[in-house]
Amino acid sequence: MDILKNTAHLALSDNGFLFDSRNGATYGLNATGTYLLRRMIDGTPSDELPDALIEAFDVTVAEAERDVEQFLLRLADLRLFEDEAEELGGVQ
Amino acid sequence: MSLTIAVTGLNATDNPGPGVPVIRAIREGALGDCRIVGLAYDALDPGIFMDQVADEVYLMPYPSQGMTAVFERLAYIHERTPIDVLIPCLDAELPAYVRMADQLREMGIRMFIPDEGQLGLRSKANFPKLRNDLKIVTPETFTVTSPTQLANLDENLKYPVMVKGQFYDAHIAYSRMDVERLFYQVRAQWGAPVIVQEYVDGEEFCVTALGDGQGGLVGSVAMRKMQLTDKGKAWGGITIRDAKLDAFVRDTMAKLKWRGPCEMEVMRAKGGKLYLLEINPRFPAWVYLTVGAGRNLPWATVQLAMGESLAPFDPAAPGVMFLRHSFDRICRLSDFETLQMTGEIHRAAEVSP
Repeated sequence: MDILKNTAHLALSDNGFLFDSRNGATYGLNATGTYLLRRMIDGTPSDELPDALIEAFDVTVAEAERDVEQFLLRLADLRLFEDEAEELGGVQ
Repeated sequence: MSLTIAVTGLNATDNPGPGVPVIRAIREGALGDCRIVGLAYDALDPGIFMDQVADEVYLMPYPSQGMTAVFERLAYIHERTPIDVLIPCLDAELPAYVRMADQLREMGIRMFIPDEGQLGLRSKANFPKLRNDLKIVTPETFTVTSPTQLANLDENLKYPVMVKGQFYDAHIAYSRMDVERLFYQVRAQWGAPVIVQEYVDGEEFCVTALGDGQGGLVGSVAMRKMQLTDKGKAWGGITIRDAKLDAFVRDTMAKLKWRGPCEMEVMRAKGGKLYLLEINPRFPAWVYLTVGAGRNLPWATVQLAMGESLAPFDPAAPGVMFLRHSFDRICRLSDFETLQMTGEIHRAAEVSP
């Protein structure tokens, strides 16, 4: 799953505070979430995220895969990466 | 050149008028070199008593007392304190100021406000025209003057629907019975027509914008409310930047050829489509956020009223936040007494820099 299309509107602080400049929403991420999102913003493909998590945290492969999957699903729910182009249909 | 600028809307309660933040913005834009005349409707409007707000204060007759009363009062004020620019800040007074614009200009009082046609076009009752003729995306809207019209709505709208007063007030209705009850309630308070509108679920944004009257956008600042009062008013908010919203605002202002300040309420439906919910023909009470965002729209309004030409502002930066607060202010009884007894306060020497 690769949901990352556009991250220019996201401002992620090292302490896990995330601001979506397109709608003003703010979020607090834990250390794992902050690490994963930072890697995603930096261009790490989704399928490499479990390995990245294993390198940085003391987790098993199964835990890393499960955590990454849940994290990506949560991000998809929040529609943080909606593609700008697909929304433009509303402007007449 | 030091300007004298008159501003209305000095109430600063939990549903505040825009006058105080407009004045704060103007003072910053003018770098302190201006004289502010506060035009108040009530001797207890808190803006009258705040520091660094009004150098002079005059009580005004309510617009409901008629245009002649308002005009005569302004003529009296202008004689005592010549006004260069006047910024009306309240919905209810806009129609009178629009009609008096030419006479006031002849007297030397400049405004930068819409004309009568533009003002009428943005009224909720004209939303069908915006939608059908100007192709501005709005929720489907019906104007209802008689309860017999409500029967037709069932064929055209799905519940829930919004029932709104023509000037103010909005309720959600989940059934025909709700609509009928709200129709009578809203009509009794705000008069006919009552507006029945398609309900759009999604994220709501507020935008304050300044149009040049030729279809151009001088500047805009978009905000998402972070805290609400029980009336749904912003008690905290943050600037946002969204290319689609920017395009929507620009497009709407171009189609309306809007002249002057306004506040647009925009809903982003699930799926991303934007709908114009409302246009208020004046600055919002959160307009000081435009100063925080580096886009001082009230001061730009003064400059435009004075005939200056301005290059359009770039979109404001996102992430500028404001929180409103309240505190008890100790006021001088003598100010209140003077205003009550004479209808005016002159204290330029005390508060001018």
